[in-house]
Parts: sequence; C-alpha cells; structure tokens
Amino acid sequence: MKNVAKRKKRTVFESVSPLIRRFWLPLVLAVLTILIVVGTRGVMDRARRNTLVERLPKISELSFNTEVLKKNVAQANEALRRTLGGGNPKRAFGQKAGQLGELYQANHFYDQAVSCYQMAMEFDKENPRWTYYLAFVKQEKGENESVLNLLETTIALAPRYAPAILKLADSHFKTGKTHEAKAYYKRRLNLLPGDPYALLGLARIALDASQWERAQTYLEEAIKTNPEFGPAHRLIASVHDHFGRYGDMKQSLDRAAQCTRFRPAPDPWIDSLNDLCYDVEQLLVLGSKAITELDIEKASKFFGRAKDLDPENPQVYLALGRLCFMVGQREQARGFFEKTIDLDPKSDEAYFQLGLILRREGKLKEAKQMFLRALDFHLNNPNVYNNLGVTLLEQRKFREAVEALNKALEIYPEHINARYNLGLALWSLGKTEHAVQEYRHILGLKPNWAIPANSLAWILATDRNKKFRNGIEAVQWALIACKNDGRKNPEYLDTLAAAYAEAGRFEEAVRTARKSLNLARSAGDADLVEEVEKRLLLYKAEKAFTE
Amino acid sequence: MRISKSTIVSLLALLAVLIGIPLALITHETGRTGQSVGEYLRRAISKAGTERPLKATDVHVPGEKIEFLEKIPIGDPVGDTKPWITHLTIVDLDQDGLKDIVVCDAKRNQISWIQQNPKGTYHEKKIGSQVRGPAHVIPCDIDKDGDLDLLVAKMGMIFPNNDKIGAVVVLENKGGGQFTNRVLADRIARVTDVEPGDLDGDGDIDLAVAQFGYDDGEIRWLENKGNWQFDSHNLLNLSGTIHTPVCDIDGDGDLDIVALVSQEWEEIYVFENNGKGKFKPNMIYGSTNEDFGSSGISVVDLDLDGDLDILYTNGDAFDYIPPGPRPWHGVQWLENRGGLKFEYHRIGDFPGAYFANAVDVDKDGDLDIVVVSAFNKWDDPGAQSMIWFENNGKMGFTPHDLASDPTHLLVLDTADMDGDGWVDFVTGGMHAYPPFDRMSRVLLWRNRWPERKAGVKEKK
Repeated sequence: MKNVAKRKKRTVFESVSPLIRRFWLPLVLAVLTILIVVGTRGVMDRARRNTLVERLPKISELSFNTEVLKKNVAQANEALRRTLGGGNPKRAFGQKAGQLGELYQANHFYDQAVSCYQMAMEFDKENPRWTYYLAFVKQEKGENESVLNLLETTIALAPRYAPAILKLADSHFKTGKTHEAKAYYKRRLNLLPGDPYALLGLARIALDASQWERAQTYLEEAIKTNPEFGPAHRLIASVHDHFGRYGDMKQSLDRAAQCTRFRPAPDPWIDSLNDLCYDVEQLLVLGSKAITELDIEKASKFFGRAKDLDPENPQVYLALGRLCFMVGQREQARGFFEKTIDLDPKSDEAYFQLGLILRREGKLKEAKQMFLRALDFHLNNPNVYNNLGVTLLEQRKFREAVEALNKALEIYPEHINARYNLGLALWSLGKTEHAVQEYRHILGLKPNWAIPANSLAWILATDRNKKFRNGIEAVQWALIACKNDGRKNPEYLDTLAAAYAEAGRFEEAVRTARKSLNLARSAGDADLVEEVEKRLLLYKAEKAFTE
Repeated sequence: MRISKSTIVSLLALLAVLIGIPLALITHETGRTGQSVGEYLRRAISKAGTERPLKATDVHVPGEKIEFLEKIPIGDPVGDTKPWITHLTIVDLDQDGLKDIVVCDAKRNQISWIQQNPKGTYHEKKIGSQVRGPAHVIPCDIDKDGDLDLLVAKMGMIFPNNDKIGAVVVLENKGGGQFTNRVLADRIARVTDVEPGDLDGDGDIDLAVAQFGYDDGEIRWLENKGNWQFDSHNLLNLSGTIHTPVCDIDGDGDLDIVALVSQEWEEIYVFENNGKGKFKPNMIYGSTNEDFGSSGISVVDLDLDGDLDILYTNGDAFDYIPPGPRPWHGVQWLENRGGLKFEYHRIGDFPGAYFANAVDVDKDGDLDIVVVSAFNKWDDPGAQSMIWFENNGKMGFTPHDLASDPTHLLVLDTADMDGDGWVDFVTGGMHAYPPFDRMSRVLLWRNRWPERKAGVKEKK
C-alpha cells in the first residue's frame, strides 16, 4: 500500500513538466514575491495615503464664521481626497491641495494654508503659485530669510511675474542684501519701466549708500510715473534736507501729506484670493482698505458680498451706506442707513450719516434732529457736535452754532474743522477779533490750509473796522490760499485781489480780479461775477474794498 | 523527520521573500518620508480619514492655563466712561520705597499718579495740567535736581491726524507731589515716545523723540543746551514711529537709539551713536508685509547672553474698519548677533498683540514673556487679552492663557509691587471700540505663583 501511495505521489509530481519540476522552488518564490510586492505596495499606498490625510488640515473643529465658507472648505477638502485614489498622488492632488490652501489663506486660516501649499509644492511642482502663496503667508508673519528661496523658485517658474520680483527685492533689501535687492529691483524695472515701487527701492538703496543725487533721480522718476506716490515725496524731502534746500523739503513733505494713503503694488495672484473670502468681517476690512486706496468698485464688490453672506448685519449696511454717500449716491446711502437703524436702533453712526445726507440736501431742520438723535446714543462725539454746529450756522442760528462748536472743542480741542467753523460763527456774530484768533490758531497748526487762510485774508483785507485790516499780511495769507488748486478758485482769487488792493497794489488787484471774474463766469456763478465786477471798478479807481 | 538541505534553503528563501521584501520597501519609504517604522506601520493599519480636532488659531492661543494671578483694580474706577489708558509706567515716584504707577489717560487728557501708600493701598491723583492725547510717560530726573520728573509724549489726538498737534512735555517735579508742565517742543507731528539719555556725552540728559505723525512723521533727538533749551536734530523722515528706546545696543559704551517705524515701512532701526551725538542709521529688521501692524518694542537681554536683544510685537489693527485680529499678529524677538546683526525668531502668534514684557514669571532663572492684546476678536468670549510664553531655558516658548477678561489691554508693565519677591503685572485698558462689556482702567495682577492651583506640572 505504502509503495502504491508513493508511486501515486511520484506519479503526480512526475506528471508536471520536467522544467517546472526542476524550477518549482524559484517559481513559487517568484509568485510569492509578486504577491508580497503587490500586497506591500497596497499597504504602502495606504500608509502614504494616511500620511497625506494626516497632513491635511482637520476641518472638523475649525470654527467657520459663515456656512458658505464651511461648505466651500468641505467641498474643496472632499475634492482633494478624491484625487488621492490608490494612495499614489499625482499632479491633480497637488493642484487640489493648492486650491484648498487658497481657500484657507483667503479666509485667514494660515496654518492650514501652509500645510496645503507644502503638499501642493510636492505634487504640483511646476505651478509657481504655490511657492508664491507660501512665501506670502510666511512674509506676512514677518519672516524674511525663509522666504527668499521660495520666491526664487517662484521667479524661476514664472520669470515675468513682477510682484514676486518686487517681493524678493524687498526681502533682500530688508535683510541687508542690497546688491541682490538692486538686481531684482532693476529686473522689475525692465518688466515695468518707470515702476515707482522698484524706483523707491533703488532710491532707498542709494540713500543707504549716501548717493543722494542718484536717489533723487530715482525718486523724481517715480514721481513722474505716479505723482500721488507719497513715499517718494517723503524721501525726496530727505534729499532736499541733505542739500540744505529747506523750502523744497517743506514742499515735498506737504506734498507727501496731501497724497493718498500708501497702496501696495498690485498683485493679481494675491488679489484673486479675495474672491474666495467668505468671512464677513474680513470682507468689511477689505472694503475699507479698498476705500483708502480709492478703489470704489472693489469696495462695493466686497461690501456687496458681505451683505449676501450676512443680510442681517447692521455693520454691513453702515459700510454700504458710507460708500454710497462717498460717491454721491445719496438715495441708496439713505436706504442703507435706514436699514442699519432697523437692525440696530442705537446706531449713532447711522443717525449721524443720515444727518449728513439731510444737511447736504438742505433739509437743515431734519438734519439737526438726526444729529441730536446720534448724540442720544453717543454723547461725546465731537464730529456730531461739529456737524450740528455747521447745520446751525447754515440756519443762521449763530449763537447755538457757537455753543455746539464749543462743545466739540471741549471734547477735542484739536478738532481743527470745528475750530474753523467756530471762527466762521464768531465772525458772523460780529466777533471779528475772536474769529481772527481762531483762524490764527488753526494756521499755526496747519499753515497751508487754504480755507482758513482765505477767511483770515478776507478779514485782514476787507473788514469795515480798520484796526483789523492789514493789507500786507492779507496778501501773504491769500497767496497761501491760492497755491496749487487754489489758483483755480475764483473766490480765493477775489480775496487775493482785495488783499492787493488793501496793500495798495492796484495793478495786481485788477489783474487778479479779472482772473477771478473769468473763472466765476466759466463756473456760471452769477452772484460772484456781480460782486467781483463791482470790486474791479473800485480797484481800477485805485480804491480798496471794505465790507 | 529529516529535513533536507534543499528544503532549508527553500524555507530561507521563502522567509527572505516574506519578510525581506516588505521590510526593504518599508525601510526605503520611511527613509524617504522621514518617518519612524512604528509611525509608518501605525499609519498603514489605521483607518484613513480619522481626524483629530484642530482648533482655529484666530482668537485663542492654545496652551495650558496656569492660575496664578489675582486681579485687583487700582486707581480710579472705570465709571461711566470708556477708559483710554495709552501708557503706564511703574516707578517709585515719591521715592518712599513703594512702587507707584504713572498713567497716561487719553480720555481725561491727563497724566495721573497712582500712589502706593501705605503698602498695598493705591490712590490716584492728577499731576500737572492737562496734556492732550498723552501717548507715553517715562520718569527721569531731567533737571538733575534729585527728584523724578516725567517726560510725556503728546500726540494731541490719538486717532490719525496730519496736523502739527504733537509736543514734548516735561512734568517738572516741584516736590511735595506738585508737578508743573513745561513744553520742550510744540506744534510738531504727533509725538508717540520720548526717551531720555545723554546722547552727546556732555553729562546732561538729551531726548530721543518718536513722531508718528500720520503721513509726515519723523525721528529726531533733542540736544539739551541747558536752562530748558533744546536743539532739534532730525534723524529720519519716515512716518509711523512708535518707540525710540535709548540703550547701548552695540555695547561700545555710548547710548544708541532703537526705533520702531510702523505704517507702510514696518522697520526697526538702530541709530548708532559715535558717542558725540552723530548717528548712523542701520535698518536691522524690516517686514515686507505693509500691514504688519508693528505695535511695540522693548530692549532686553532676552537670552541672557550679555547683549541686548529686541522683543517685538505686531498687533496693531486700527488702520481699517472694523479693527480686529489679523492672522499674522504675534510676538518675535531679534537676537543680537553682534556687529548690529540681528536674527529674527518668531515666538508665537497672538491676535492683537500690543506690548510684550520679558520677565521671569516663575522664577526659574530664564525670562518668560507676558503679552497683552488690544485687538483680539472681543465678541468671542474666549478671545484672550493676556497670555504668557513660558521659556524652557533654551529659548523655546510655550504659550499659556492668562486672561480673556478684561478685553482691550494696550499696555503692560511689570515689577514686584508688593515686595514678596514675585514679579506682578500692571495693565491698562484702551476701550476705543466695542464691545464694552469687559472694561478695565488700571489693573494690578498680583503674582501668586507659589499658591497656584494644584494639578499643574512643576517646571524644571
């Protein structure tokens, strides 16, 4: 039996081909190897997938301000996970990680954005945005050194993206690497000839090296490209100071103060992130920023989105109202302020703004009511008192106006507008001496302010009381009022003509009165034309005008 | 049973395949990804998608809370007003051995003195006449008559303004608690800091002056010519200077000026003194974030290596409406590497971080950092107004929660107020925007570290 079995077994083994018989062991090992490699790869894929999943931000306990944001993050997160597939992620995974990063960055979840961008850079190596965004987040937190490599990679991938070049140049400059900074500022200039930001950087490098003339050239070029570029005016003042040109220095500083607030250089990639912002407060900040940059369209877009996201938020309507009022859309502004009051009946700001609209429309009685209502909710607001004072001035209730304006100044003695209005009210009450005092006080603080300079010049040139008249000083103040845009103002020129006449300079008085007359005619200001014509006759007769 | 040699070879080969291949692959993968084998295997067998909660860091800095502070309001109560304490300094003003506090109150437009007398009892009184928009006060015997005068930076108006409404004011100590205002420089761009020091080496006290302005600020120093006369020297024409501490930062024996310039510049300068009042400007740090929100610096040997480092907060957020936290707000220090080279180190994020002070909170021999916030998201009750970063002795910092109530803390000073050997804190509240439900004016935070709540691990 045993032999039979042995024979049978041998028979089975012997029945397979001799080749297999000879290589059975390597064959089994090969099959096993394949199975093990496949199995191990499966395990590895799973490990790799889980590693990536662990690196992904956990959204379960992030606190999102709006449902829309929560939904969008969840969708982007899901789309990203789908690309993980077998655990061997490809470029699509990198792209989706980057897109999720954008969403996080746009909504101020910076740590989460950083994780996403790091993965995006790993799997979507050719996309310059991910390195740029990562660099941007890091530099926003004050890092410089670690940002340099990222920006260099960005520029290698997108050699013509000028914002990255500027950022790298600035980073080099702020870490003391002026040679590298200079090279990148010049590279940006090659892309954008006359770019004020690059020229400012080059000027700062020149100033550091005490190359004053070179700095001046750069700054003048920057101003040529953008006359509203405040930092260039400010720095050129330092150059004038160095060369002892104090008049020019003062002029440059004045010019800097008149410029609009500093606007960072345009950066389309960063700006595009704002479209992904679903946080109402942040949208309000973005809108407010756009207003300071005088970009009304952008501001309107941000506030509009904030309204869509949170239609019951009074702050949103207040912001929209202010914006509409600013651009002269009074009806819409009124609607928004009324809506603000519906949602927040104690909004002193909304009542105040409504008061401003009504005053602008000449509805002085109603405006006054609104200002008083605003004071009910915020008793010590000097701006409200100032506007109440102006309204009362316009109602010719001078004593009440003085009272309100004094209240504004009691709260804020440096409220220069309130002080000017007080001067006007006092003058209207015949208290010329006090009015002159107020104007002099203001001009001591702000010597180039045209409005009080003109008012003071008028009193000094034309007051019926001789003791207040001083032609020479009147000319000085009138000339200040007529500086820059003031020379196109027929009223200021009228004052200057009166001042010349009071100073006995009748030829100049006649010439200036004619200019005023021409401007008043072009503006269609019939009253002023009539008055200046009368005064012109006096000047021709070598007589000064008095009130 | 006899096992043939070929079977043993076969089994070994099998074993090599079964163990060797996965091991080789996994070792390669762990080497590539920088993980340990254990960590790798845990990930391999764990279920994908298991998520651990992560908190958003917008208002609350994570970190264990250690209860060791006793909060005591001192000076005048909050009352009906919304306090605007813009600065305060701990000083023994009457030199009676007890620490007092001098306060800039921008709501009352007044400098006041919270006098400690007797020990543990505080009374507030106005000193000098009104100063509009006081932003900074520092004691100094400027006339060298043996008592402490007060140097005051007058902004004129706290909120943005380009008018020349700033001034440098001295409250001259006349003795007996009486102070007289003296204006040293007037009608200049809004002044945010005045710091004393003999800058030209002639033995008297000169002043470093920060003029924030709005668009037209500058940094200057005032040379003391005697008899209350000062000559002004311009150092830099940039707007937005907040602080100008005077110190020997390059260790060459004379006093230099460190200046923090905010606005669109966001830079820190050292004006290196040649000992005779000739200064060379050096930018030692700059952020390329134009909206960084620089809010304060203090000069301190943070790593205790014998030179002065710079502790620096960025958390100002009043440029745009609504004011509030930004994700980049936080605390950092600039390590002095010698030769006017400084290395940037981020300590941690803290929304609205306004001022930081380095102090050994737990008396373990290293300097910890206490920070206050003026611009956190206050409608969230968890938003913190004060935290501390515990130093592990190797300049590694762990954040700890200290307080969410009161809100809007703008200023902080530290000293052992009660003489118990533990450093206490004094804070000031600046309630310029809502909510107004957790207000404070001046608060003393007594350090009760030895009695801190149990259950907290002892630090090494």
